[in-house]
Amino acid sequence: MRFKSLEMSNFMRYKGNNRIEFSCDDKKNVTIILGDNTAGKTTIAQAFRWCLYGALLTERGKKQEDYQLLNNDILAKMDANSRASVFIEIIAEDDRHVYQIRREVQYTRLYPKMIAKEFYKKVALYQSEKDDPDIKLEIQGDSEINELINELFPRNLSHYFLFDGERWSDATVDGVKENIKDSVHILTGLSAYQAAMKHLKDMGGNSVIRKFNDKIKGSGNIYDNLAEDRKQMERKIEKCEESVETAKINITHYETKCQEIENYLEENKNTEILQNKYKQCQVVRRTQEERKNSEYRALVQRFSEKAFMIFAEPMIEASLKMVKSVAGERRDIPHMHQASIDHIIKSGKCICGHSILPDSTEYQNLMEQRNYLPPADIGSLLGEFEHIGRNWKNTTSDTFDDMRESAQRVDDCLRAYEETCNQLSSIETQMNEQIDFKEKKNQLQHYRNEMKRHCNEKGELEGRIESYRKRIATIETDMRKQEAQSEENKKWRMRVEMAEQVYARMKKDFKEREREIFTELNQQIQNNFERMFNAKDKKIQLTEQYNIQMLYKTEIGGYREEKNLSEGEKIARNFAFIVTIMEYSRKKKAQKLMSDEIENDTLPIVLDGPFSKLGDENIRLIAKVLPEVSEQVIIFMLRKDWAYTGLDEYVGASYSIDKDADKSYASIRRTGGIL
Amino acid sequence: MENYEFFKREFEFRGKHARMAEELWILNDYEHTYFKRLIDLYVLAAVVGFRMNRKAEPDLSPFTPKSIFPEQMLKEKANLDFIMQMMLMLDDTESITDEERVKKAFRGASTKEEFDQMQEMFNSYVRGGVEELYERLIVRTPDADDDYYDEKTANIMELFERFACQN
Repeated sequence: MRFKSLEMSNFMRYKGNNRIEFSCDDKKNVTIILGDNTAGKTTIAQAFRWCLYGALLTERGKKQEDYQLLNNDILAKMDANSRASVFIEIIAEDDRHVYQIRREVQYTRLYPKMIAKEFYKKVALYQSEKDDPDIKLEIQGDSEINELINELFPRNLSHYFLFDGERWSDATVDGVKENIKDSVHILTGLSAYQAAMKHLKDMGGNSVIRKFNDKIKGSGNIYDNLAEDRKQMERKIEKCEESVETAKINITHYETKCQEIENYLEENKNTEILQNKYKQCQVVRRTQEERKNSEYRALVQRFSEKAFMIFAEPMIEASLKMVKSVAGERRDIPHMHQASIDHIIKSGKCICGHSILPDSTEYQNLMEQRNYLPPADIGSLLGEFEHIGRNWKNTTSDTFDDMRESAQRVDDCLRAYEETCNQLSSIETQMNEQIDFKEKKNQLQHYRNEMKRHCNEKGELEGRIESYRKRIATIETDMRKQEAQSEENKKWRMRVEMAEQVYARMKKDFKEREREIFTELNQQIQNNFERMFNAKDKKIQLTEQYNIQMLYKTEIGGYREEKNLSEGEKIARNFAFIVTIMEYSRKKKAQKLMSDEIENDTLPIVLDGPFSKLGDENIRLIAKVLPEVSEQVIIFMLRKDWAYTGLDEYVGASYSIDKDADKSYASIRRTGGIL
Repeated sequence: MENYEFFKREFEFRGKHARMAEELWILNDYEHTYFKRLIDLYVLAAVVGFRMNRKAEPDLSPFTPKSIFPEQMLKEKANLDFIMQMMLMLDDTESITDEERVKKAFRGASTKEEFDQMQEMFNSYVRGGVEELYERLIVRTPDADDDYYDEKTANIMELFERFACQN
């Protein structure tokens, strides 16, 4: 199976019509679409999904209704009366047929709101012979169309062949584990056996064998009573089978729940480490808080004590200048007033010991000095004034630098303190999430009990079915004894026996082949994993239900299952799986060409951002494998990652997604056959 | 001068100036206060108000007054007197000679009227200074290119750079 083209009209961020022709060349089977981040690569992957299944891949917590399919630009230009349509058309081909799948929705606008309202929707599928493409057969009825699409591109496997490396992390969609086993059976051709077996015998009252049996007529009441008993038994079996199905759903549900809680407990086993870290952080925060407060205090004190002095400097300069200009050179004695001289004269003795007599030299000198003193002269006050001014200046000579240093220390302390506060709150968040450990463990126990109860119920039901079947076998033996010995009966009896033999043979073959395929796939997936990821200390394997387990090598040489996988490991694991499935179906197809085996087909691989979480070496190893295992590879990826793939020689078509920064919509441009 | 000494009496910030003072000075909360004591705000505001030539009338809006008690005033009297002397010399609202200015500054107030007038001039610069400090420390939002992460520190240092660099 190959995709020939994809046409999008007004789909999400693609305005107008955009068409991509994929390379269908046998050798150059890779088509690449390169774009920058947020350019619209994922939208193209969504276009495939929407066209095939009518649904988008939703992000966690979002619903289908949260996504708007109609391009915003188109919607903005609509008024209350206009309509606009969105469609995707995919053309795909296998060896014999060409399929044209077209899904379309028409919208009106809830004017003036920017809301598009679905007005009309349609899905159409045309099938034509590859040799005669003009005669198209239109498949009628939505359910028939969807059934055929599902046959061509099994939805259960869509997460593998429409591989979304950026969001894809587990084989669950909307919390429901997909039934990969059935899908693998489709791809490996085993589903044909199952369908045949179901038709022959496994669908109860409508099966071939049952209908043949009904043709056989008995004689008398005994036969009729036995036939009635058998019917009753069959009805009981049907009821039991229904209950078994319910039990299975319940078991899967509780299994998922248990798995979730186990993962949660595993992820949070480091709570104790967290608690210790929290305590340490609290001590650090206390110290940092004290330091921060003390630095703030130092800054405020320095500012309060010194700022006015340093800020007053221009005032000091100006006033000193004024004082000097007025008073000239000072002749004063500091801190002396005229009253001080008066006091000395009055005492009659100078401080040097000489007597002060009126008109003596001592008296005259003192009287001269008295003239230069306040209040008669302000000279000494000026001296004091100058002294204070100088003192302020001296006191503040280092203040500027001190303030800067102090401010820097406050800043550093504050940053350190806030960082610790953030750390603490992040640890708190982590710890809060873990507070309900006990409750989680109780829940786990409850789910385990429930699972066990449903397993027991299922076992009991299966046992009952078995005993009903045995009872039916006995009834049928008795019925045979009561059969009318007619030619007609003989003929139907022979047919029943033939059908039984065919059924038994098919059942045996199915089991053998199933085992064979499982072993082969398991071996192959391991080889691919090694080949693509150079893994030495781990391996992967499939369980009977086709779940993929990753095993880590233990110190004593064995392997143990690891459930906590990194995003990269999950992608590696899924890559190994899809490559294995592709490789297997391609190999079988090659064999089929030589023998006339049951038909099966390969799928193309569409990869969206597959390598974004992988290293360069892994990108190269994986990329090399892809074109070999799949008939067709379509990759959307970041321009910058392309160089690591080394895929140039396989590229048959290349496109670039253009999106101008000032435009809200993107468009696709063909850049050539080969890059 | 003996009878008319400045800075021996209580001072009250009133109205909007009391509200501003309350934000600029928070007792014993060094993380949020800008001044250690209320008197420190009074002293710095006098210098800043004078340097910015910004005077403000008393505000009468109803707000609990914030008082600086006489004993606090007395502790800072020497510095305040010095600032008062500079103001009396440099305040050019009166047209008198430099000599008269200097004499006035050192003689001080000789009458009650003169005392009140000089004290009011000083206090009006204080109020203008409080407004200026409020705008620069509380209202201002630090720029992205400020050197400091902490807003309070950034504003203090910005004020410092502004008034200490113009020497």
